[in-house]
Amino acid sequence: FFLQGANRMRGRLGSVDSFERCNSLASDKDASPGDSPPATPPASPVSSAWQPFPEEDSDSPQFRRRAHTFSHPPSSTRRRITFQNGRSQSVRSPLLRQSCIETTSPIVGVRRALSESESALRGLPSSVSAPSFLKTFYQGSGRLLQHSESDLSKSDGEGKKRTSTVCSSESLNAVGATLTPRRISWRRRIFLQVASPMNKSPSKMQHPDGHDGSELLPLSPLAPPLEEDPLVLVLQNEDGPDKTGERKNSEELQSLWRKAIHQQILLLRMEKENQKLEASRDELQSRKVKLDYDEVGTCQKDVINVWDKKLLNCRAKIRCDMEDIHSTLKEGVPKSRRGEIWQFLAVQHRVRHRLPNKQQPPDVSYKELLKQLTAQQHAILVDLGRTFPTHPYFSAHLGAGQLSLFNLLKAYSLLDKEVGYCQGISFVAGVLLLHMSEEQAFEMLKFLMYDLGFRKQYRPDMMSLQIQMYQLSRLLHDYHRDLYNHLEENEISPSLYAAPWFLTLFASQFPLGFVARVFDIIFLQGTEVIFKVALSLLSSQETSIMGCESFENIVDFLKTAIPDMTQPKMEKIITQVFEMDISKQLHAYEVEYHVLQDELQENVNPCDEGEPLEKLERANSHLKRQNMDLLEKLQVAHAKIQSLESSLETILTRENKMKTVIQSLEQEKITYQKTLEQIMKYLPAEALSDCELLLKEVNYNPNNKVR
Amino acid sequence: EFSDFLFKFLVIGNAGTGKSCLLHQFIEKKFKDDSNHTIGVEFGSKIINVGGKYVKLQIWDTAGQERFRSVTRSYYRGAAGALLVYDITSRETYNALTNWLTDARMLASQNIVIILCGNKKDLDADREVTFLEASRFAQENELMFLETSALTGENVEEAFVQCARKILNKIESGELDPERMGSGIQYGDAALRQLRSPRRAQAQSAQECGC
Repeated sequence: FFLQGANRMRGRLGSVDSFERCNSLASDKDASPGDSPPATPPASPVSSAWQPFPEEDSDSPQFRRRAHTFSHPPSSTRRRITFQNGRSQSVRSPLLRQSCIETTSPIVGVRRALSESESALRGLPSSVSAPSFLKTFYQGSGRLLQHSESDLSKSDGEGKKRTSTVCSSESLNAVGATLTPRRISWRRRIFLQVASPMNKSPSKMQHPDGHDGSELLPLSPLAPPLEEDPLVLVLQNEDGPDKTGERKNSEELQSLWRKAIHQQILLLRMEKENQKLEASRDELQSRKVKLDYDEVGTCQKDVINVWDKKLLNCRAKIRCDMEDIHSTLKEGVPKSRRGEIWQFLAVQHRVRHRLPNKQQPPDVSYKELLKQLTAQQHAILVDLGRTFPTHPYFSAHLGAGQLSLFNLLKAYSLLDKEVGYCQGISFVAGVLLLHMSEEQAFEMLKFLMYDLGFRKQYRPDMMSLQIQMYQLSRLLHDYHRDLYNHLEENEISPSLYAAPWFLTLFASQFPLGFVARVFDIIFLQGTEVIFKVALSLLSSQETSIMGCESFENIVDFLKTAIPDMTQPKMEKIITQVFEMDISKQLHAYEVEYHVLQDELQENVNPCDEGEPLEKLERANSHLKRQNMDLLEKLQVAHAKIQSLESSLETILTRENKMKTVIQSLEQEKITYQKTLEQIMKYLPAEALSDCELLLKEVNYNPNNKVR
Repeated sequence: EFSDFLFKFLVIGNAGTGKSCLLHQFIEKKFKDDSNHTIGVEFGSKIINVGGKYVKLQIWDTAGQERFRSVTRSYYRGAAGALLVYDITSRETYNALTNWLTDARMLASQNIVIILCGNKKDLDADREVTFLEASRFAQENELMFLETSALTGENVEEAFVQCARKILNKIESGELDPERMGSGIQYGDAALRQLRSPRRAQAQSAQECGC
């Protein structure tokens, strides 16, 4: 039966080479009595599972093509058709599927030929691909082979009881096992490489290291059923040329084995050392790659020195003068220390503003979070290749950058269950990763989201984003009326151009040097920086925007021309941002938004009864007035607190100054005393007593006066 | 740059199905493999010739993630046509279609013409949604249906053109009225002086009244 099935397969698929090999192997098995039940349907797929190691190069494309046909997850239509065909269904189904496509599509031949050549094409590059891929191939196949083996033993026991469905799923398993890394969907491949990297046990880590010597290693799972024959064969082949015909006794064999093992161990060690060296070199290189952007504004030497001093303070968590930090930040930031400076600014912010307990993020460590699984996995994976796709650090498919980004986003989505993952966060995380390690970046992401409050705009209802759009519109309306009118006439709302500005903190469209500078200020001042930058961007381009006539032109200008600024323009905008203060307006607009929203809701909910409605309205308006009053009071109180805080700060600084003055005075006093003593030494005794008398008189006089 | 009509189009569907790439392929005739994921809304426009008429398409390309609908929803209003995109290699994106469909039918104009696009046709080896079941779904929901590839460009232009053609047909049969508010259809700058005389008279009188 099996041979018949195989013949049918050959006839259909025409991949002669591979199937002949399957046949011969399978018939070998059949010849050995009792080893396996005579009619073992999955024999062909399983035997092909033994194949690919030694002969992988010669016929892998065919295997792969077959694998493609197996790879489709069973769809409802397919299962319905193929049930009648019993055991050969796994082979026949793809063809049937194709034929069902044929009925719907008029261009049969072309389509089929195309899909076949495509699949072959897609197969080819992967066989020539990077060594890292091969590693996973060996790793994967080693593990999965065992799996298929256990399947086989199970099938031996169950024998003929197996139904056709079991058969198909098993053969799917077996073929899937050998070719796993080749044919599985790219999503799953990413998953296999990415999922819980912390869980890799050291032994598994070593496995790919030794893939050089894998002519020996992968055989091990096969050893029991094939006994020792192949090993002996291998050894004989090794020494074949020197001692042809001579049979080896066991001692010689043993020594050879020992030698081989020693060499293997040595090889592994060397490989490891190599990897260590490479790792350190890679780290340096990746640092270079990460920070490869043009800085906006140059940072002078003395400013760098000032930063150095401040960063030293950072370790002691000493409260620094805010004005001082502000002015230094304005001077510039050296990009090599930018990550540290951001962390310093975060510490400074936390010293001043402690989050209330309710708003604190849950206290779970990064490592702990990495071990968990996130429901947002798919959403994150989809965006990995679409976050800074042109940046060398992030562009490599599943390279270091993308892996770090995945870990960071995954950890955050687990930490902040409400926000989870929102498109846009990946850019923020990416910018952080360019400047610091993964764990530090996680800490800083937490700071931005919780302490500075950026997480509000990513929440599922995105209310905060809408408020921000309103605030931006109002700012334009109040301070750039012409521009506002022009945009309104052309029906361009801020959500069309400014949504990415807010959600990625300018990172998705603007040059990295500019983005980094914006981040500098954000770490100092928080969310309102986005408004400031947006406002100064729009106002600086006001004449150009006014010059655009149609809707299309304006959108194009806003989306492409604005991010494409010259270096001096960017510097100008940054300095403008440092001088702006719009916090009061922003607050007022936010209140306004809420009031408007309440009013809108009121209008939406009409009441039937007349009198209670009036009453309610009156009460409501009363309450609203009260609310506004309270809000105003709150604002006043806020302002008061701020002024008090600032006065406190000035008092503190004054106190410090006083202290230093006192110290210097005391020192002066000491020096005076010393000089006095010296003078005394040189003076004659009489003069001394005269002096003392004089001093006494001087001392008495003021006392007398006081009395 | 003359056009007889101006249609407002939407591109909707789950994240990562290739909406922006479809739009880019349609407008630039190139595949953009290093694009950011869309945040909020993107916009593109192109003039196409459909059966001798020049139609300008104003296309709104939306972010796919669920929560962005609060931002993108305002752009649904008055869309005449929509490309509803799923990824043939991801059943999840196919399963989400009904949600998108109700959203579009509810928020856009009543008579919105929707074409279902099974994108990433070039990845046939990883296919998870068959042509047959998708076309059945399209039939049940009165959608047009094409499998497209933003990578190779296969069927991309066709998708937009077929959708536009259907709208034009509906206008000519009187099923759609371009003058109705929120139809998503406007007369282009080459204005429709020759299309159908009663309509033209109406259009002109409306303009005069408007002044």
